[in-house]
Amino acid sequence: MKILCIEPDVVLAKAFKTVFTRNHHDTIMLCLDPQAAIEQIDTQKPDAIVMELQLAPLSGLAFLHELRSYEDFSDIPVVVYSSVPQESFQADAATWRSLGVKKYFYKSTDSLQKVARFIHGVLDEA
Amino acid sequence: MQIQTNTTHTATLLYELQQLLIQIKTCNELADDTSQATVGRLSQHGLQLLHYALFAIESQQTKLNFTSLSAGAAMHDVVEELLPLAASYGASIHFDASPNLDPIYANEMSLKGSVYALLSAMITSSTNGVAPQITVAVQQTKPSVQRVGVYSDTTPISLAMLRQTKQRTSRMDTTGLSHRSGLGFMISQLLAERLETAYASFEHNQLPGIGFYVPESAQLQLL
Repeated sequence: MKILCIEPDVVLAKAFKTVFTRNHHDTIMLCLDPQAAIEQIDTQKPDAIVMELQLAPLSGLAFLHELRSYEDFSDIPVVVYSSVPQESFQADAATWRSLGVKKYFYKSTDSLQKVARFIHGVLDEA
Repeated sequence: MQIQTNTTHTATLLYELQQLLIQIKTCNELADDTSQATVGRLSQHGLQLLHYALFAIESQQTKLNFTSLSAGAAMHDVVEELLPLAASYGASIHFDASPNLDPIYANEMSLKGSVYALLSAMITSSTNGVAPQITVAVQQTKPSVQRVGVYSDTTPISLAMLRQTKQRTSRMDTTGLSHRSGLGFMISQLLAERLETAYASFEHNQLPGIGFYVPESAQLQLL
């Protein structure tokens, strides 16, 4: 499976790569910022995206709005793994669904292994 | 106004601590030798940054002890201390000091803390995909005064970035600046104030950056 990981923290990005390749034999594409991610998605066509929402210079939500505006990318499943709790956003379940977010994980309480297992569950169902 | 400033400091400190603990928790999940080494480096850095942050906050109410010291030696110590963290981020730090520098008159902890906080913020905040290459320089740019500066053409650093961190009111305000809290930028400014100086924009070997002036001890003896 090809997973695109949008994670601005270099240390965490390396950890993502280790977990997904070691435990699930995935091909991981790492992006530190959302602008580079759009180009990666266009050229590499990932099966799923796991991403932080606290990004710079474009916010994660602005990135998701842009991603969903492209017809070709509209059905790529997205999983959020963020250091910002979901309650901090003024968004209901319908809004997250409309952005194609399958699940919201919080870095403080959820493990990276749990995120990887969930993504594989989603991809196996599809 | 004072309450708002303190709240901003506290929130920034907590965001940074949260990020450090998330990094440590995630590396710990991997349970291999490389990750354990990273856990050690991050823990050590976190404790050092916290030490300078607490000093910056507590020293606002106290008169600091200024002594005669070598700016070159102090900056060399800071660079050495940050090399393990830089390795975790693929960053490199180059140290450049003018030869035969006279002692300066400063508070050592404020001097070291200000540059440590600034350098570590530059290392950990970089998200442009380019490995940070940073130069720390100590020079005698005018008589009886030395300039301590941090420069890079791979990792943007400017006065505007420093000031932005002082005006933040929420975590998401960092968008556009960095994904990190900006704690290092905040501490570096607070400790520069303790040194009775302030950051300004400079260039060193055609590299853009920021720094501040510190007086030499001999200048004060003349006064």
